[in-house]
Amino acid sequence: MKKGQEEIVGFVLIIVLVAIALVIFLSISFRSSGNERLESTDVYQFVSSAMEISTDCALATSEDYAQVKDLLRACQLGRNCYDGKESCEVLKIKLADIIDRGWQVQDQGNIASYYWLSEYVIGETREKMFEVKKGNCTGSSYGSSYSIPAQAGRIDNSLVVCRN
Amino acid sequence: MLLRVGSSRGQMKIQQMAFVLIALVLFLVLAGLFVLTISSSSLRQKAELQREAQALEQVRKLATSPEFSFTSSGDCESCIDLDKVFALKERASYKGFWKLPLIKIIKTGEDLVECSELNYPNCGAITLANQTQNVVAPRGAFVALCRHTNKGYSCEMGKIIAGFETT
Repeated sequence: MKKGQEEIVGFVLIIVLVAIALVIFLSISFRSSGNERLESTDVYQFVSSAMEISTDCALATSEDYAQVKDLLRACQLGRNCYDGKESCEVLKIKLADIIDRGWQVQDQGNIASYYWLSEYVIGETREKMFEVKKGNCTGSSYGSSYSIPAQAGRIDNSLVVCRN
Repeated sequence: MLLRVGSSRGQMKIQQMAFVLIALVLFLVLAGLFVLTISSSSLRQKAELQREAQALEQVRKLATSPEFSFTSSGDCESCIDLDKVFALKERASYKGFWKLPLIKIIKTGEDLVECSELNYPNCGAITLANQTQNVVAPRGAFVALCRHTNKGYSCEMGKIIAGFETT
């Protein structure tokens, strides 16, 4: 009888240990951090459309107003606008305006913050061109990226939008 | 008698083993159900995201149709010709053409003032179809709204919004 009781206790102990191990394993596998970024079709469509938007910066002539994609290439080359303004500065202001209007970023609104990053990539080298950001991300985030060819490499543009 | 005691001992051990096996199987089944519940809930979320992405792509494809697409900017798939769309708005032959109950093109970040001959292009929305009954939650996809100007063409950010009929 005593031996039987010992066996039962041992068996229950094994079950309890396995259950604890399973719970720990499951909690680690299904834990999602607050900064997990989900790939978003919506953001991809936004970034790809943003490339076509007209800006206030004329490049070759006083009436040759560039689109965002042309201005990105000009910014990467360090070119200025026809009126002398820095193309990168004009681009940052324009992108902030497009993103604010497109996602209606407000302090108490649905979208809490955003982060735009443009990088020039050639081979294995990534060179940061500029970033545009607003707010602090504390909730779930959605992002995507879109690349355009530039010189011998490409310019990668990524946008991460953070919800409350 | 010794044989009887021996066989009842053996039977006892077999019974013990049977109970152990049943308990183990029950435990594994419960653990398996628990894992399945958690994994299927994340599956539902992924399926929902997939459906959302497909709906957005369907809406975006409207922009590539010949009635909407802006061809002057090269191979821009996300560009809509706002002048063409405004012209279609007034055409009776295009009423109900897309078989969608709701199609609207809006400029993001602007007041949604409906475009007419009096205020175009200084307006915020062009509605091609506006049926409100039996329409599921409309989906909007970002597009570039382009117009010809005396200096070439100009594009601004907008959205094409489409509503689908409930099944």
